[in-house]
Amino acid sequence: MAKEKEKKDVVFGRRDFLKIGSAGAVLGAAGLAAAPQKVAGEVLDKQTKKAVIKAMDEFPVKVASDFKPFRQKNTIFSRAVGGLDPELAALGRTFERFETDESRPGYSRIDWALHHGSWAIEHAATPGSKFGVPNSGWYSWQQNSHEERSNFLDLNYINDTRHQFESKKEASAVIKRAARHFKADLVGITPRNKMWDYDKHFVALNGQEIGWDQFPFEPKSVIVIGVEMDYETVATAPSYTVEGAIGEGYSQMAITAFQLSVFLKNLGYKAVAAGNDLGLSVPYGIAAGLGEGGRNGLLINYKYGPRFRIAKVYTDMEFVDYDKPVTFGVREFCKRCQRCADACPSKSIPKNVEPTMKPTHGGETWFNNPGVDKWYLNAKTCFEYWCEGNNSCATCITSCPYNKPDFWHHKLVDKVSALMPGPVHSFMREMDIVFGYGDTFDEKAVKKFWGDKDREYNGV
Amino acid sequence: MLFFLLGFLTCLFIVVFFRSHSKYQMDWKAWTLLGLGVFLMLFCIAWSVSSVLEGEPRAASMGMVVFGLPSLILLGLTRRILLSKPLKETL
Repeated sequence: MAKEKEKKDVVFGRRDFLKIGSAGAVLGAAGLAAAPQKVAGEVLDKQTKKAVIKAMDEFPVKVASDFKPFRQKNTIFSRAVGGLDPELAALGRTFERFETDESRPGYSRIDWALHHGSWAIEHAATPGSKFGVPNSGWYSWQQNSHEERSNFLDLNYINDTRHQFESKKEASAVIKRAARHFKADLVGITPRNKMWDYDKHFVALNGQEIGWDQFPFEPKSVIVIGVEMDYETVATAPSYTVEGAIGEGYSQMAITAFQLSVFLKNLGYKAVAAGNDLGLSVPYGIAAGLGEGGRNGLLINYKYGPRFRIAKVYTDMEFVDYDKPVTFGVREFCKRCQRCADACPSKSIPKNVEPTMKPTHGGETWFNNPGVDKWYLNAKTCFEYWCEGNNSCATCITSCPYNKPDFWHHKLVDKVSALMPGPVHSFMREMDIVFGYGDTFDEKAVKKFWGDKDREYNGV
Repeated sequence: MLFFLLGFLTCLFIVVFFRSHSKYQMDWKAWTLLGLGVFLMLFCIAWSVSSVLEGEPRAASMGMVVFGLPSLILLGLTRRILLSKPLKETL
């Protein structure tokens, strides 16, 4: 009898199970409901992204054993701005000509003014750095001591005493927190790797080549900084309006990288801020765990896709925790997607499914550096289109399916793509088009950018 | 607000589940269709509201077509299955 009673006590009926299950569901739903939308989305993303983002111990891209560092003299900008190629130089001189058209959205006088306003800091503070000119303005190589500074207002000097961090982890956390304070959206730290540095620097403004022996110190680490570009502005590509996003990104790069370099100098470490100079930003970004290399030749980040700019700070600090490269399925997705290649107005992005160790575009290749398993762009036709269109294009950024606003449903789609095989990627690409994302030459996007509806400016 | 709405709707659907269970004869087909239909409906609302908030109206309307329409079809099928069988009380 007692045994029977005991049995009765522990019986757990289907009805009880359903009651507890539904109570749990209600509590869960209520918990989510209580959280603000952004927070709830972030919690969901944080809990699920571990399944798709994988840290790698090695550099995740195959590099040939006979790979040689790239000579900066062979970039398209060096050849054009440095006058090494007379034809390209003549074409380059037509770039950024004052030419507006009020009947064409994105090419009006105000779009042109936005273009110049956005680039203003970059041009004034780091002249020529967008063409890769090294040792310029805030990206200067000077490592003045306290005694050598020009006056008491000059904060850009190395402190006499060096701050010692208690642990590498602490050093890394402090650098990243400071970088975020200086408006970096992404930060990663990686060892300096001569493979990704320019073999020789090239000063396009005077045609001089400079060796690393003239650099003021032996860099040990590279801090890679990502600066987001505005989604709504990037949607206007190609146009003068999109230069607003690009120029703003470059200007912010200069501010953030310079401030971080001064921060490190104040801690007693040598540091040089850099934009497009010193080394290749994309492989350094991959090594620092900021993303994967995409078909469009850009670094694709989990949060921002290709919609960010990269700056670097070279330093002699090496007591720091280095980041690991990450993968989240970008290369696999790029194989089938090819939206950037379809959208590219100059057809400069190759369409071969698999990445290769050498260029496949069939044109001139002096601007490509073979020996890395990737998709090789035709930088010459790309640059020619820039000059013809009189702006920096950016359709490869706008059209990329990873270029999305920071909303939970895009992260969900990215995760599904990462976990699914190839044919699903083709389907996702088609859905991206059908849902209206990634349109280029979109005049409505320009009108939307300048539209005043639902905007507040006074905080009320 | 969106997640508050989703939480509220989830609670509402749980109540509907229980009422359907006590009133109608629910076999595995009806449960599957109802569950899938409700899930798609909630997903449709979440997707479309988020798309409006991010300023992508075309994505919002496509969300209604791609997720909302199948959801309505599935819920309609569930209704037909349930109505085709006698009510539990009449058994």
